[in-house]
Amino acid sequence: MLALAVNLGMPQFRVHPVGSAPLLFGVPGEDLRLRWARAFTRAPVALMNMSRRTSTSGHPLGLLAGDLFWTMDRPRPFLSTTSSGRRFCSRSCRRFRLISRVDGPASLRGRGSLRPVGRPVRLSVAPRSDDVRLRRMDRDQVVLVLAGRKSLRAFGGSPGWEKVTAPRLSRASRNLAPSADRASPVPPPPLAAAGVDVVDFGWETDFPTRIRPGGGHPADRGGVTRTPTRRQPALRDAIAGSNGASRGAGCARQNVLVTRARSRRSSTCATPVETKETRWRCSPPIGSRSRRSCGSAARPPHRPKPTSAPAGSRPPPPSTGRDGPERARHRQFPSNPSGAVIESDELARILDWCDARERS
Amino acid sequence: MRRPGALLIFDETYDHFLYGGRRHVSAAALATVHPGRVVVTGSASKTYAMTGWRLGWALASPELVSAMAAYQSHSTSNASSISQEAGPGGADGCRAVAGVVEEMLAHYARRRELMVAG
Repeated sequence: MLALAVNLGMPQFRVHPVGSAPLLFGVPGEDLRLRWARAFTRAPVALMNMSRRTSTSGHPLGLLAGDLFWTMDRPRPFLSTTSSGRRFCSRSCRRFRLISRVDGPASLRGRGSLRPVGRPVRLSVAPRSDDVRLRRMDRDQVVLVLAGRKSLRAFGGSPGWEKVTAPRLSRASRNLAPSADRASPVPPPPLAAAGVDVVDFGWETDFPTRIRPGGGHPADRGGVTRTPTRRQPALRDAIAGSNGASRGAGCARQNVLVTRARSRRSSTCATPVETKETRWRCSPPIGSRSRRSCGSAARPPHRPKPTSAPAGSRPPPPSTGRDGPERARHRQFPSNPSGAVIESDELARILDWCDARERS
Repeated sequence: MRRPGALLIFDETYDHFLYGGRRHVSAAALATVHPGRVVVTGSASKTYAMTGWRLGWALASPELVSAMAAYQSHSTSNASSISQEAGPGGADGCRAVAGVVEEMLAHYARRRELMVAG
């Protein structure tokens, strides 16, 4: 038995039963919606994300379940502007056409030529509100409005819909049974304790259970001050030891700074930090990601970019000039959460570039 | 202190969370070749799921660590003693966090295989 527990931990995450079909509101991200909905493929579940502020995918409405597909032909009500001036609906919404309930993938005949089958779903959009309700829907079957043709193909839809970009879906999730967490009122931990194979997507390391005693003991002793890091040699030794072992580097206590990691903008940082001429791109996946600045000084005048390096060679470091303090310049490469991983040779090249730049 | 022209700061908070047999390459391994240029940062929030405990660290040359400590003490204050005790360096924290990463990674890897393997 495989139990799938869903808990995205989102404050706006709610479940609204409509007939036998609960609607999951506020599930962020198209890929999540698709994957989760795919996990519920044969369950009477519809996924919606109607929030104008969080509609990152550009699709005003996304519902899916099984082989039922719904979409709309009147995106105009959704082409509104939020209070911040952001357009809610993107261009991709205009590709949608109104179809009624489709009894199977064979009914999908391509964009604009879909034939309604069954009763239509009527959507009500309240002006100046994110409240969208399904006025009418089948109680036994779930409504699906899915944005992408590629997604439809992934769900067994018509090849005529395959040009719309959509995230890749897990084929493995097709074999999942209908949501076992809805079938079982028992939370995942007792299920797991009972020997059920539970994949709990809401699981996190229970740090209160593990960590709380560690913090509770000094609290009981009255040690609730902010101790200067230099007076915590044990912690610094432990960090140096663990990091040195895992990173293959020799670290000692004096190499470690412990901080409460508070994000704070420094008011002492001087002048502009990055300009076009100083932007440097390394070979993929490393790349300049964003520009940041601190301070209020104006940017230096624009200068043309340096000529590109020959194919196959590493781009030369840009001519930075002397129009700003060197220490104020800033680069930001993708970090690990973005999916980029710096290999050892790339790392060495970056450091070599820094050495060469310093010598020059 | 030597003042290099460029200082590289590597945020290796997720260094433990690699899948598919990939191995993390840390910039700290090159710190001996490029002293004073590499700073590696880490956080207990991600590695040990201690979000909210506000505990992080930086690995750098002793000169740079000394300078950062002097600046930090006047800007962001220091980590609380409770967090420091509960963290990987505390007497109780050592026992608390032992095996946490491996356990988390095993669960994450299973979720990943379920959702993206096709």
